[in-house]
Amino acid sequence: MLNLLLLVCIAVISLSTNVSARDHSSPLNPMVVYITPPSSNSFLGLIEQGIEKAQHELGINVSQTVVNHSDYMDTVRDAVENKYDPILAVYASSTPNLENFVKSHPGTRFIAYDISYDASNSIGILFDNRHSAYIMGYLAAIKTQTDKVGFIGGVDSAPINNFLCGFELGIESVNKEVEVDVAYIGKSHSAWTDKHTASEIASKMLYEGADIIFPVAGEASIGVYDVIKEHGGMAFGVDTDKSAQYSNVILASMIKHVDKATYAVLKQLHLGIWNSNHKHFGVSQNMVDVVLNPKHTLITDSDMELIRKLSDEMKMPASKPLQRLNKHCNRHL
Amino acid sequence: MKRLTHRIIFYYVIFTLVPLSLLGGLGFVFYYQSNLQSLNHQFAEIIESQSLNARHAVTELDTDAAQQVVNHIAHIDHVVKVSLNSNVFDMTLAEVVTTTKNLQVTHLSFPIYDMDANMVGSLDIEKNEEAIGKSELMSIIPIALILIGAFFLLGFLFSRQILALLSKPFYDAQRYGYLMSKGEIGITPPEHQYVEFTSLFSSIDNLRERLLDNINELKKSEQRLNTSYNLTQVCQFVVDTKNKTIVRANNEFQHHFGDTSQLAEKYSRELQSQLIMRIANNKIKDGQYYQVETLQGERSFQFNTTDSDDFIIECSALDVTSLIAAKKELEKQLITDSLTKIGNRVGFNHHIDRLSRTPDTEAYFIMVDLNGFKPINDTHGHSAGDFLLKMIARRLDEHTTATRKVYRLGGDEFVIIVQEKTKKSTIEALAKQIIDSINTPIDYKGSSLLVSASIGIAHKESGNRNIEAVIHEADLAMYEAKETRSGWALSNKDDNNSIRNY
Repeated sequence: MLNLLLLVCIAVISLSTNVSARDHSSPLNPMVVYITPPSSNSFLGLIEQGIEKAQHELGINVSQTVVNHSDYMDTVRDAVENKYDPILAVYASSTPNLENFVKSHPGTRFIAYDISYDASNSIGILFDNRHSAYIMGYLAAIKTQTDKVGFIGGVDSAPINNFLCGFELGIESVNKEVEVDVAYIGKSHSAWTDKHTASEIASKMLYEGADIIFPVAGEASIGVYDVIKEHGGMAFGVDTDKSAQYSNVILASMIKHVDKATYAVLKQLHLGIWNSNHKHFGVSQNMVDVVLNPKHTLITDSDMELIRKLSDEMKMPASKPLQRLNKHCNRHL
Repeated sequence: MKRLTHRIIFYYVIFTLVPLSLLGGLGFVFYYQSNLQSLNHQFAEIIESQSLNARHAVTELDTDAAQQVVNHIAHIDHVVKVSLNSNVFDMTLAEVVTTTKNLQVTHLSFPIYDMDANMVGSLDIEKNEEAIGKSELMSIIPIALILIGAFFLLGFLFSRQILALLSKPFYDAQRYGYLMSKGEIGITPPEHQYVEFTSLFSSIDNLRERLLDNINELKKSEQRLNTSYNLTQVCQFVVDTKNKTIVRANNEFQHHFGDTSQLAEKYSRELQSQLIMRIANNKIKDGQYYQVETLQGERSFQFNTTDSDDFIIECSALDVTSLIAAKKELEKQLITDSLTKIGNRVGFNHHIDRLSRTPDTEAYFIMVDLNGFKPINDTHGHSAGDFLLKMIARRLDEHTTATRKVYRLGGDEFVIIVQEKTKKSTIEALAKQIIDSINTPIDYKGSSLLVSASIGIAHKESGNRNIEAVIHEADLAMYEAKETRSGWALSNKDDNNSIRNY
């Protein structure tokens, strides 16, 4: 385990000479552990972008390692023991036993994605997905011809259900007749890469009459897009704009600026600021937004205007959609 | 014609509504200006008050605090979009929009500095400047409209009240005046609660009472007048010469000429129209006597007329028929000898006067003097003498014609004036007849009374004005006849100036 870690260890940060006098914190020595190598245009790829920016802007060195998912916790434990601080826990929401681990290692700071722990040594990067998911639901309800859409979550977890809630509410606000078929790929973080199961579920949904599928399943979503590309239908992208590869499949993508969030949190720690155990990012921070795929034949100019209007409404405290969202969907913490 | 109520409403509008509207308008302008100012002030104040929180948020990555900051600022009017950007964390910490409309906006950026004056972030605000004035106006306009409406309503209500308040008394006054002018003065004036109208009506009422008194007085005097009008013996009537009608007439007139109404009998109408025509044609003049045909036959009236108006003549006519008769009788008595009932010396003198006015008239004066009258008077008494004179006078009077008049000049002296252009022989024959008739004895209580006559005749020729002289000649001729006992003598002064005896 340690060997693996050492194999991929990357050099230590060199302290920059122009660090401000205000900066009393010790230099950061962050570590990020992946199960799959971060590909561009994916959740992990975005994290990677944020890390790169931090390295470049702040002059800190972030160690990265890719391990088998079964070795994940061991690798994290090794990183703690090797005094890496903070640890970027990118699979935190699908790794239930991480919470106890975090709490039992108060000397090390953890940056947990999509989850926050009630622990003073962890900071959760939380994305409020409801709003954009609502917009997706709205769009799905407009575009569906079978009045049946599918939702495929990576795991049955709070952040995923945060998506689902917004998505369902968006559909409901257009057409209450539209049925939402919900399925989850797995129960652990391995689900995020299980393209096979994802495509099976998607095929089943298409067979059952759904014509739009919203996969929120990380890498596994690719399986869904492939099935749709083959059998027809529509889908939504998540995390990044997926329309380049699937221009005939993707209606719109829900972009999460995980890179910005990662950079901001790293900078905060870099500045020695620790003022809460979670950071909440959403439409208000322009951290989550929706981009349409203008290449898709079903996307029109009026859709563009609709998305702009809905996006504005999500930032408008007095708007009805936002009030309904706040009422019906929990702000995921 | 101007109306009082319109004037009142006009002044009300001029002195209350217009100034109020102007003041209100000014108030609105000031309110608008101060609103704009306070808006700007408020904006600056809120930005200022949020600067600390904003700095905290952008330096410490506090999205909740940032959210509060932008929410706070978003509450300012006309702010369309607020975003709090952190340079430190290279991200937007919070962004709020207040409308989904595409509005024309002004971008404002307020830099946020940390303690060391490093720019750590910015507060970017999009403001719809265009709407600032408009929305303020829009907030004022309803109030202004309500006020204007209220003013109009007030004006309307005021007008209505004034009209209602004034129209009743004025209507009453008009009606009251109308009724009074129509003669219905028995009614009391309408009651009003306002002292102005009460006093107005009470003064009208005083007027009315005065009028009533006057009318009563007039009625009384009219009654009195009517009484005397109808009791008087004078016919009083008014003639309309244009329409040929009797306008009014008193009882005396109607007594003589019948009813003047349309229902009058035909004969009455004829009589009246005769009279009207005579008056209309100026045949009857003021102050003179006329014979008029009446229901009682032809009677004499003395007329008095007054032209009171065009075609209207007021007339009075006094029935003087009996008066004239009495006068004639009196005149007759004056010139008649009371014993013999023939003309006396006064009548003779009148005759002379008449003759002297017409000098071209030829006339014979026949003086008759009785012989032997005195002895009869002495022996048989005065009554026998009187009887004799009566009989002689009767015999002389038998010669009376239209041109021959007999007078007793006194005692037993008579004269006959023959106003004829005749031959002397005729006169001489007449003289003989007279002598013969006088010489005829007269029976008086069984005895025969006999007298003779001496007659002197004088001729007044045409052109002779000296009648006295002619009479004197006749006298002289008569004396000559008496002396010569020739019966009669003819003065021949005209021919050889001597008296011829026969």
